[in-house]
Amino acid sequence: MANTLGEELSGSVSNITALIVKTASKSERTRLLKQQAQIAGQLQVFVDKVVDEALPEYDAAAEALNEANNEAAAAKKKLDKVAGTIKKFAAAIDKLAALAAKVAAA
Amino acid sequence: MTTRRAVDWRSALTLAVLVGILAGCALSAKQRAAVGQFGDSATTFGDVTSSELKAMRDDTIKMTTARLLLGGRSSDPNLGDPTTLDRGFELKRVETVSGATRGLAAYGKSLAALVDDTQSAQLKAASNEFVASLGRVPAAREKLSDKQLEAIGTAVQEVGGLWVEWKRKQALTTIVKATRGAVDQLCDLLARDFDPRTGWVAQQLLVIEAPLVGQASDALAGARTYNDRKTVMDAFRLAQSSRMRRTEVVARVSEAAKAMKKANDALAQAVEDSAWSTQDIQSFAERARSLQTAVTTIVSD
Repeated sequence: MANTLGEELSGSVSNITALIVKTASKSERTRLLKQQAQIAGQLQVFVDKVVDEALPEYDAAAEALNEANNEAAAAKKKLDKVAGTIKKFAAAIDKLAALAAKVAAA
Repeated sequence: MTTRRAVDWRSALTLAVLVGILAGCALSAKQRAAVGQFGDSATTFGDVTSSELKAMRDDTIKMTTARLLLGGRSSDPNLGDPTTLDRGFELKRVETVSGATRGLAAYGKSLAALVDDTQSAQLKAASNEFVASLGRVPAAREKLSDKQLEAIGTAVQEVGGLWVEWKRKQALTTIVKATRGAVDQLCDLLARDFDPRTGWVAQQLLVIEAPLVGQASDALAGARTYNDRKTVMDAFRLAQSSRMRRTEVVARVSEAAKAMKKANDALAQAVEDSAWSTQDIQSFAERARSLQTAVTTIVSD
C-alpha cells in the first residue's frame, strides 16, 4: 500500500533530522536546517487539515457518551432510592401507630 | 383455619415465585466482574490518555521555546513562533480530544459505580428501621413474635436486594447497548489518530520535536562552554521525552483503543449472556495497564 502524504512527509523530516545530527559540516547543516523547516511546515499544514476534519467527529461522539453517562448517574440514584423507600414505609407505619394510639385514647 | 392456611401457602408460593423470577434477572458474579473490569480499564484508559494530551501540550510549549532560544525565529511561517508557542497542541484541539477521552473515563466510572454494591448496607439499615416501626404498632406487636418480626425484616431486605439487582441489570443492559455506537466510534477515532505511523498525533509531535533536535545539534557543534552545552542538553532531553511519548505512549493508546472496541462488543454480549467469554475484556485490561505502566516509566525518567 502506498504511503500517505503524512507518512511521506514524516519520513522526510526524520531522514533530514538524522542527517543534521550526523553531519560535521556547518554549511551543510545550515542548508539541511532550512529544508527541515520547510518540510516540517508542510507536515504542519497537512496535520492541520486532518485535525480540522477530526475535531467535529470527537465532539459528536463525546456528546453521545455524555448523554449516556447522565442516564447511568440517574439509574444509580434510582438503585440507591430503594432503601429510602423502605425507610419511608417505616416512617408511615410510625405515623399510623401514633394515630391509632390517639384514637384509642380518645 | 383451613382457609387461612391455604392463603398463607398461596402467599408463600407467590413470594417464592417472585423471588425466583427476580433472582434469575440479576447479574451473575461473572457478569459483575466483567462489567467492573471493563469499567476500571475504561477509567484508566480515559484518564491516562487525557493527562498525556495535557503533557503533550506542555511539552510543545517547552520544546518550541527551547528551539526559539537556540535558533531564533522559525524560517517557515507554519511552525510555532513566540506568539504561537503551543502550535500543534492548541487549547481547542487538546480540549476537544481530551473531552472525549474524559467522557470514556466517566463512562468507565459510571459502569463501575452501577455494579458496585453500595445498597446492601443501606437495605439492612432500612429493613431494621422497618421492623422497629412494625414492632411499635400495638396490634402487630401482639400478633407477631420477635422471630416473626425478624423474618419479616429479612424478607424485606432480600426482596429489596433482589429488586435492586433486577433494576441494576436492566440499567446496565440499557446503558451498555445505548452507548455501544458512541464508544465504538470514539475507539475508532483514537485508534486512527494515535496510530504511531499514520495518525496525526505522532506526526504533530514530530513537527515540534524534529526542528528542536536540528537546532540543538547545530548549537552543540558550536558550544564552547559547560553552560552552552547544558542549555543544549536540556533541549535534547525535552526532545527525548517527546520521542518516548511519540513512539511508546501513542502506540499504546492506539492499541488500547482497538482492544477497548473489542471489549465493548464482548461487554454488550456479556451483560445479556452470563456464559459469554470475557477474554476480550481481560485483553483490554492488559492494554490499559500497559499504557499506564509506560506513562509512569516515561514520567519518572
